[in-house]
Amino acid sequence: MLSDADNKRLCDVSPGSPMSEAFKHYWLPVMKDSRLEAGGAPVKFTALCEDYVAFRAEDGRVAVFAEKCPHRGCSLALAQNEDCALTCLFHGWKFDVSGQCVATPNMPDPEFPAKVPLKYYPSREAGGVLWVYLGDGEPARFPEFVFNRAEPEQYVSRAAIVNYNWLTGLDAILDPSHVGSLHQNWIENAPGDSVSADIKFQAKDTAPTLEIEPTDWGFRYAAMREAGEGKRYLRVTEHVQPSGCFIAQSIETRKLFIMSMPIDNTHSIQWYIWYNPKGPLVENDLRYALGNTDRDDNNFYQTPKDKPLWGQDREAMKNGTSFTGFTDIMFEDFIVGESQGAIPDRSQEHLCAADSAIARARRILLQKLKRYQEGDQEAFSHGNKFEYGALQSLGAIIDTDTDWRAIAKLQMSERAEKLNKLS
Amino acid sequence: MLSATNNDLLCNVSPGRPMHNAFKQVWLPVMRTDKLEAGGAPVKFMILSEDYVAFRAEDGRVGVFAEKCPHRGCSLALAQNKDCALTCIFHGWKFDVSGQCVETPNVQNPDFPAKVPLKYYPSREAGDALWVYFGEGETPQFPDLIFNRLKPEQILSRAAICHYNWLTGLEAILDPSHVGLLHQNWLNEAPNQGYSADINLMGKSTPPALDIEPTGYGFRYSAIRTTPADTQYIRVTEHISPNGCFIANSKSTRKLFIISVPIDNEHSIQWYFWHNPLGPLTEEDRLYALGATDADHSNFYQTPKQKPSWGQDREAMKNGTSFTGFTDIMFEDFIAGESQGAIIDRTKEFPVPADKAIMWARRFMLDKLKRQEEGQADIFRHTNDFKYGALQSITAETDSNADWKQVTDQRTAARTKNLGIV
Repeated sequence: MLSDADNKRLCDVSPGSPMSEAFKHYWLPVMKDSRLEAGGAPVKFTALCEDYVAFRAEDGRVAVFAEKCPHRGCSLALAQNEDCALTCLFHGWKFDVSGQCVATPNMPDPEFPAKVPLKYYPSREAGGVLWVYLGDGEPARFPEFVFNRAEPEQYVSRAAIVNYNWLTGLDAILDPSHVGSLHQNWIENAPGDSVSADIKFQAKDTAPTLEIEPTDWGFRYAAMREAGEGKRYLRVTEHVQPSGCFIAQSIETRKLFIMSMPIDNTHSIQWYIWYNPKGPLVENDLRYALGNTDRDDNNFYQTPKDKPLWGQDREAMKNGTSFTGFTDIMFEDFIVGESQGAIPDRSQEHLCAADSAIARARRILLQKLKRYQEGDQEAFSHGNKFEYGALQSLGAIIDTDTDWRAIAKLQMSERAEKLNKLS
Repeated sequence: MLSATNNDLLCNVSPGRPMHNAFKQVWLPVMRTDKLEAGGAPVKFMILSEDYVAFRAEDGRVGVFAEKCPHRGCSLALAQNKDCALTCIFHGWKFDVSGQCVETPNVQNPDFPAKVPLKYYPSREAGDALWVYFGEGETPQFPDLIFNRLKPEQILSRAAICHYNWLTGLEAILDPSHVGLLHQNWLNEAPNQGYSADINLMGKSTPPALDIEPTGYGFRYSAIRTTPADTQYIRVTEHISPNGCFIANSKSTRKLFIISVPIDNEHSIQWYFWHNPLGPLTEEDRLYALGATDADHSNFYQTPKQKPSWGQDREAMKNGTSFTGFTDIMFEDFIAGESQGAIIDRTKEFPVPADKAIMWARRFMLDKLKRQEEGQADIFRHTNDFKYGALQSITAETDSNADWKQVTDQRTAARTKNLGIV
């Protein structure tokens, strides 16, 4: 449960809002980089309620500008993309790929272009995604997650555009207990070669015990379920603030990072970055990543939105073939999210113990917003004391008396060590 | 004419507004009951700018809940409807048809479900409609108006979803003087539609004088016209506060009750409850109730909305076959209403004496809203000193000096005796 004021504080990402400021301290995934064609049309996008344009110069470099030409606001999405520069159609002002204004044909003063302040943003292509730093000043450390260092054949990055606020997306990936209900058919029916057998414990024990460990990048939490014979089924999720999670997948060749990225207050991109840390993604895992979703990786959530009640199949619900009436687990998540309303009224919630990761993430963010407001410039920083590339979730059957924190810590330090050897 | 403040007081039905609270003191019809299939999909609906869900359990009982699951707000419109309960698909929280939470699979404590507060609302099926009481505290007496006591073959209930505020709908049914004009083509044809010939007196007589009397359920008023023969033609409308009216229909086997129910500030349901207190509705009367409207009883006003200028036929207007260019009198009312704007700017009106019932209804409500603000509770509830089942509108041609209240009371006494209403 949140007060109306706190809910607004976390959900509102319009310019000048505290959460907009917060997001501007992180690298944000804004589009698949395959949308940018060398010398092709610039691509307009909205992030944090503000409009931007990205383009790829003929030499392959990418740049991100504010959408409007600084002269009189003509959209640079319409601009010429030539000579490694965008040229505004309106009066011919020209901006090179580094953001420098290089021509202003309607100004005879040759000194003038150098003085034109274009809003330019640092960007980086990694994991098949264009990452942008929308803040001012020195950009934060780039999150070199495993998939952001991997070869293209090791990952597939997919974006779903949903009609809900970014926080609903974060709530969804910090919510272990919905799996046994919302995704029960998937647990029953997932082919043995695409998931490990231990996922069934999520349906058998629907009330997991949660434990949370704060970290520099956010927190990690364990969801633990009874697995019988003195064993527990452990799932550890790494939450990377402000809005990402490594999801516990108990299969070695297919890992998943999900991140909720605010478009505006009532729309967000849900990023699904699937990857194999050890080699190319295999055909079976690629097929699994597609599921029954739409095939457009730039927006794989399209068809349900056009239908009344998202096309729910009540007949299948009645005859027991589908608990939810939907055919894909990613769609199930998006649909229940949209059904909560574009901005859920969190003053009406009744959270339970299984929701403690959700509650903790909100509390941490609210504390950071407060610290930042009180002048702590480092409030949103992840610091330098860990390797992004060592972050990974974990799923395992463990003895009831085993300390999950120790396992998670050990595995992370082993991965960090390997990374250091490589570099 | 109303000040902008008073107009907002009456029109604004958002949560927390005075009129929202007023509507939560009375029963409201929200949908046709045939939308609810036993064990079928729950039906989401909006009333007073809030979302609800209704469902019918396998055993036929109906439950009405707030739309959102109390846990994290997933829509219960998506829920499983099994075991006489709704089960939220998100985390499996289960609510039986009485509104009690019976399962919360993600909570280990077995005492937890009993503590989950689901918002549950009393409902009743009557007159083909699902009626719901959205308020808190003790549920008021159910309005067992005559059609709410009749057998299915005696009633036909139809809903029209209009793009205007609820008050526009109320004003349409408190407005006797538009009939002779907006509905003039219908009026000319009316005697052929089974109406008694006296309906024509509306077109032929003087502009009506209005006389009003407050009652425990709202008020009643008579439109009084002097006929060319110097008799009095009276049409008595019973207004059930805050939003319904028995329309004076000069036909004994086909009566009509209209009620305007707020969906949100700019949309309302106009309910038409056609009924025959004396026996089954005849085929002819059923056809009359359909008119030239759309066949879907859950929303019989669909086609004109999709057309520019509501599909007005200017050619028919020019050649004199249609005064309005529209083909149905119910459509004429809805179209005129929508053309006034979703929320009418009532600071710019020029009311005339024939609008007296409208003015009276507004004053009546504003007065109640004022008393409500001063702390009087349940000011919009109806009193208990009358019988809902006895209410009916009448028309009559009387001596020029007859008292319409006496005429109405005599008729009511005779009717309730005949129908055995106690």
